Amino acid sequence: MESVNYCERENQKLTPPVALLVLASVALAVFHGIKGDMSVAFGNSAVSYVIAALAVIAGGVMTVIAIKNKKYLSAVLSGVQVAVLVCFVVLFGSELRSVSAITIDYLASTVILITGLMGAIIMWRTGSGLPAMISVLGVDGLVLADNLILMYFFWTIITVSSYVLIMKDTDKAADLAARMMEFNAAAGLSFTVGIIVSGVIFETVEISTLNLIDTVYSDLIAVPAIFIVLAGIIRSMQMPFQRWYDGEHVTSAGTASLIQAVTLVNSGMLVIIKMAPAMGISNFAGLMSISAGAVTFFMASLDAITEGNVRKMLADSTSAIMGIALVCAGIGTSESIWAAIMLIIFHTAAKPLILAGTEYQKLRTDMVMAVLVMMIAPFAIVLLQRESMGSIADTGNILLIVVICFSGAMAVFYWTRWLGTLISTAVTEGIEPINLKEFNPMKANAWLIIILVVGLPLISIYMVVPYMEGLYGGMSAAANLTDNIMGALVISLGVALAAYPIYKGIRPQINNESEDSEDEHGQDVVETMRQSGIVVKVRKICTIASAAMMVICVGFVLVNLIGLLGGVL
Amino acid sequence: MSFKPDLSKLKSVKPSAASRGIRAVRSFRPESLWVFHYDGSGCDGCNAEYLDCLSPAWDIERLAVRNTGNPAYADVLLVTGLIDGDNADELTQIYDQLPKGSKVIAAGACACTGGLFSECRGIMAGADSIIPVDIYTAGCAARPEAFIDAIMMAKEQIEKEAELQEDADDEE
Amino acid sequence: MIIQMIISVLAFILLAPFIGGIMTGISSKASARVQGRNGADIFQPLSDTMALLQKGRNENSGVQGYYVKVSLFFHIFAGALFFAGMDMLIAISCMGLGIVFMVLAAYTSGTYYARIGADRLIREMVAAAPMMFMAAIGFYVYCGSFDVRDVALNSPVGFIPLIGIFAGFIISPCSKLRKSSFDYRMPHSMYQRDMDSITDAFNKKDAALCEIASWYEKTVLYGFIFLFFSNGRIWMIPVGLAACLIVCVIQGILENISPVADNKRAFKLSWTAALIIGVINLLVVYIVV
Repeated sequence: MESVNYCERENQKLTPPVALLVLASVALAVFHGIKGDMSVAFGNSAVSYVIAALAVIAGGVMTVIAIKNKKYLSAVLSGVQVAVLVCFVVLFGSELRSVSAITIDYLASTVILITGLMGAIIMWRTGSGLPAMISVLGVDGLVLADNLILMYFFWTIITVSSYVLIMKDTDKAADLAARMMEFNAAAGLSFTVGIIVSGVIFETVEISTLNLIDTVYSDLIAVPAIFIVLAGIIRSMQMPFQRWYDGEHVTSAGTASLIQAVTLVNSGMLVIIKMAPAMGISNFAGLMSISAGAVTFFMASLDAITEGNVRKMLADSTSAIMGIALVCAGIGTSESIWAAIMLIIFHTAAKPLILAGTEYQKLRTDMVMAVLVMMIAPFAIVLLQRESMGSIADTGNILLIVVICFSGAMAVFYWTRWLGTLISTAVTEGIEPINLKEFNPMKANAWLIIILVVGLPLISIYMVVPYMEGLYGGMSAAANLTDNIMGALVISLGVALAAYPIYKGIRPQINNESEDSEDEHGQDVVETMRQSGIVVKVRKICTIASAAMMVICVGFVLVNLIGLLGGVL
Repeated sequence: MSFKPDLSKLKSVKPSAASRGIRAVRSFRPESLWVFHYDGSGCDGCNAEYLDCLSPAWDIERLAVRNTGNPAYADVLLVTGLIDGDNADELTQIYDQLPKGSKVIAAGACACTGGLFSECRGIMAGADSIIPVDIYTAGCAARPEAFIDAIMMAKEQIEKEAELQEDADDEE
Repeated sequence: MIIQMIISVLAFILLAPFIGGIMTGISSKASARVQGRNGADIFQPLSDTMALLQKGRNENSGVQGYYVKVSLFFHIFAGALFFAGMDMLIAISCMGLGIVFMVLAAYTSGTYYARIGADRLIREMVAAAPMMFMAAIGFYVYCGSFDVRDVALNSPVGFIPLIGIFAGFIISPCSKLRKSSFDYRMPHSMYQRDMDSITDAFNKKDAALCEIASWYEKTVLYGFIFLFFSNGRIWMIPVGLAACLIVCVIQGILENISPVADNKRAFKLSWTAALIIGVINLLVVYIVV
C-alpha cells in the first residue's frame, strides 16, 4: 500500500464546530426519538418563493464557479439548470400545492446521526474546515427536505462544497474536479427536469405527496421519479457513469472519504431511497435502477479484482456496494429497502476508516483496532447480501438473480484477497508503536463501527424498521429478529477472530523469502484476467447494456410524458 | 553397512489386559506411510521406476503408502539418482525438514555408492556421504519390487522403533 | 424440536469428519478402480490424517495455526447451522467465511507458494459460489423457504424439477469434492512439484486440521445433495444416501476423465455450467411454479 504525502495528520484538531456537529446530530436523533415523525409545512407561500430563490442562487453559484474555472461544459449544464428552474418557478410556481416542506422521520434521524458522526470524525482527523462542514450540513438538509426544490438547493450546495474541497487539496486535482463538476452538473440537470415534470403534471414538488400518488397511479409516478433517480445514479458512480471518480491518490484520504462515503455519493443514494417507495419492478424507474445497479455491481466487482492500486479498488468497491443498494432500492419492497439502508449505513461508517488506513505504510499498534474493524466491510457485505438475496429471489427476474449471484461471488473474491494481503502485511511486517494521540479519530471511527455491528439488531428494530412501517404500514418481515441477531453475531465473531492475532502481535512461524517464479501452474488469476483483455470487453458490454437500458426506460417514460402533457396542456 | 533393530530392550513380561487395552488406544498407530521422493541428477532411471510403483501394475497405494510433496510430513525420504555438488545442499535442506524418527532410503546404485559414476569429479560417492542412510536398495535401475521392499522395510523399522519408544516411555 | 436440533448438531460435529473421510476414501477408490488399480482402503484418508495429527502432536502453531482453527470453527458452525435446519444462505455464507479464514491462514504462512495456493482457493470458492446461491434460490422458489428444515421435511422431492440445478451443482461446488486440479488442501498428485497448496507452509497439525475442515465442508455439500432427494418421508432417506454415494463415485471417475481441466478451464467450466444449466432450470422452475 502506497502512502500519500499528505500531512493531514498534523492538522488534526477537534474544533468547536465539529463538536457542535456531533451534539446537534445526536440531539436531533434524540428529539425525533421522543417526538416521533414530524413534518413542517410552510403555510406562507412566500416562503416557497424564498426556497426557490435559494435554489436558484445555489445553481447560480455553481455556474459562476464553473465559468470562473473555464469548465465550459459544466457551465453550460449548470446554466441551463438554473434557467429552466427559474422559468418553472415563475410560470408554474403559483400552481404548486404545499403540504410539507420538511419532514423528520426515522430515515432522516438515522442518516443525520451517522453522517454527523462520520463527518465529525473525518473533520477531526483532517482538520479541514468549512467546505467539509457545509457538505455534511448539505446532506443533513437533503435528507430532511421533502420539497424537491429545497432538496435541489442542498444538492447543489453539496456539489459546490465538494468541488471546493477537491480543489483545495492540490493542483493535480484539477482534472478530477472538472470531471466531478461535469457529471454532477448533469445530475443536477436531470434533477431539475424531474422537478419540472413533477410540478407540471402532478402539481406538487413534494416527495411525500408523490409517494402517496404512487399508491394509486404507480406507473405514472415513474415519469418524474425516473429523472430524479437518474440524477442519483449519475452521482453515485453507477454504470455507465462509473468512472468519474476513480479514487486516484490525487486527493487525500479525508477528501476521498467524504466524497465517496459520507456526502457526495451518499446524497445520490439518499435521493434514490427517498424515492424508493415510488419504484418497483413493474415501474420503469425501478427497472432502470435495478439494471443499472446490477450491471454496476458486476462491473465494479470485476474492476476491483483486477485493480492493483488500492485506492482505485476502494473506489470500485464503493460503486459496487452502491450498485447492490441501488438494486435493493429499485425492487421497492420493504425488506429490500431495509437492506439498502443498512448497506449504506455500514458503508458510510466503514469506508473512511479503510481509506484512512491506506495512508499508512506500516501498521501501528493503535491501528490494531482499525484493522479489526476494517474487516467488517467484507463480512457485513456477505451477510447483507444474504438479506437482499431473499428479496431479489422474490422478484422472479432471472437475469437479475443470475447477475447478482455472479457479482456476489466476485465481490467475495476481491475482498478476500485484499483482506489476505492486509493481514499478511500486518503479521509479517510487524507493527511499530507510535504516538497515541494521532490515532484517536480512527479509534473513534472503529468504536462507532463496532457499536453499529453489535447493535445491528437494535438499529434495525428501532431506527430502520419503523421507517419501513411508516411507509408501508404494518410489521414488515425485515423485523425478523433471529436473522438480525445471527447476522450481527457472525459479523462480530468473524471480525474479532480475524483480528485477534494482530491484536496480540503474534508473528508467523515461517518466514521464507522466495523469488517470484511465475510458471504456468502458479500464474495469478488476476494476471490472467488482465492479460486476456476480458475486463475491457466486459466493460464495453456493461456500459452499452446499462446505457441501452437507461435509454429504453427514459424513452418509454418520455412517451408517457408526452401523452400526459397532451392531457394537461 | 546394515541396520539391525536393537531388540534387546524388548521385555518378555506380559502386561495385564487393562494396560494392554490402554496401550492399544494410546499407541493406535494408523497404518499410513508418507514418502518423500528426492531425485538427484543422473539418468532418471530409478526415478521412473519409482513412479512406476504408483502405477496400476505395482500400486503402492494399496499398501497404505502415500506420496507427498512436503518433507515435513514425510516418514520416509527416498533418495534416487546421483548426488553432486549442486544438489548436496538441497538434500541437506530436505533432510533437515524431516521429522524425528524418519527413515532414509537410498535406492539404486547411484544413490547407494555413486554407482557407475562414483569415480567422476564432482559426484559424491553415494547419498550417505551427505546424510545418514538407513536402508540401501541395489539395482541399476532398482526395480519397483525392490522399492516396495525397501519401503516396507522402512515401515517395519519405524513401527518397531515406535514400540520400543513406548516401552521405554512406559518404564518411566 | 430443540432436542432434535441439538441431537442433529451434536451428531454432525462428532460424525462429520468420519463421513467426510470415508467419502474421500470412496472417491479415491473409485478413481483408482477407473485407473485399473486397487487403490488405498476407503478408510485410508482417516488413517493418513490421524497419522499426521499424531506426528505433529507437539508442534507450535503460531498465527497460521490460529487461523486454521478459526476456519475449522466456522466450517463446523456452518455445518451446525445447516444440520440444525436453519437458513441455507447463512450456512453458505459461514462456509464462505470458513474458506476466507483458511485463505488468511495461507496468506500468513509466509511462503510464496502458499499465497498461490490461497489464490487458488479463493478462485475455487468463487467458482462454486454462484451455483450454490442459485441452488439455494432454486430451493426457495420450489419449496418456498430458505430454511433447511422446511426443504428437508415439508416439501416435495426437488430432484426432478431442479434437475438442471442438480447437474450444475455436481459440476461446480462439487469440484470441492474432487482432487487433482482442485486439490487445494494437500496435493495428492504424483507430481511432487505441485506445491501450490495452502498447506505448503503449514506444520503437520495445521495440515491435518485443514484436511478435517475440508471434511466438514464435504459433509455439508453432501447434505445439500441429500436435500435434493428428501421430502420428510422415510423411504426417501436411502434414496438420498444412495445419491450421495453415487455422486461420490462419480467425482472419483470424473477426475480421471478430465485430463486437460487445469484450474483456468475448470473455473470457466464451473461458471459456464452455472450460467447455462442453472439459468435454464431456474427459468423452468419459475415458469412452472
